[in-house]
Amino acid sequence: MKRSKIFASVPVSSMADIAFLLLIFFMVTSVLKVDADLPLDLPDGKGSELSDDNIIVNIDKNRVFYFGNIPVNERELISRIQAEIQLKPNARILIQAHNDLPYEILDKLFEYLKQIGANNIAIVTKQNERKL
Amino acid sequence: MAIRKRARLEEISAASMSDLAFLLLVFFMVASVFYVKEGLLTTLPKKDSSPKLVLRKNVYYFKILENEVIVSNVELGNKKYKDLKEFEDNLKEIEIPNINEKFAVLSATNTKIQNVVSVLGAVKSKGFKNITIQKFVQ
Repeated sequence: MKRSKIFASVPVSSMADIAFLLLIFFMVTSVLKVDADLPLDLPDGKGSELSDDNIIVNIDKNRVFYFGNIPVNERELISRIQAEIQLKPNARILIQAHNDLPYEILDKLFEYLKQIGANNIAIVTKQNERKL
Repeated sequence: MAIRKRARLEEISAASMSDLAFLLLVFFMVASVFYVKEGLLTTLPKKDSSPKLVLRKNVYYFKILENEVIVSNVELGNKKYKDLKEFEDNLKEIEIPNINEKFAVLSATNTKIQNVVSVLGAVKSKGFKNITIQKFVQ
């Protein structure tokens, strides 16, 4: 009697489900952080990588100060930073200043920050692309 | 007598679907770019800190007057660079015996932030520690 041949095979149809599930999982869980859309041309320089949990101060080319992306005057900026520092004592102040501004703007800001005890600062340079 | 036909199940092979999904996954992983925020880390002196006395020979000054950079030290003397490029090119030739000496980047008030950042970045990338930024009063 002739036996019928049975081909051994691994079912791979569920593999597609797993792959798409992974793809959708990463698409749903990934968060794209978009910075405030301020027309800032940051200085070029060799800097160190900065973490996310920081206080951001922007200064545009018209010398307007921004706390995050909210335009504020100098006094308001300092009081907001002071309040934030009390909540996050280890936070660093990231200064994103337009590259054409004169140094005296930074110096003035440094003086204010020193007065409120915000000693950890960083001057943010141009963003660099990084691949996986 | 009627011959009973065997019912054949029609199916579409889904084996290549996983290849497609993984190909997409790999494509997006390779093509995606992450923007990393970078900056020059600095610690400002504390409000009530009293200045420390340091021997003048242990302090190196990098004075920035708009585009011009002057490196000065009591023993080294003054070295003048007409622009930032010349300064960065010649920085490796400046002989400083100990990178743990004190370095002061002095900037004129009207110097652009870009120039201050360039000098600070160049000095930091050479491995110098104890760098302070100050206003330079002409």
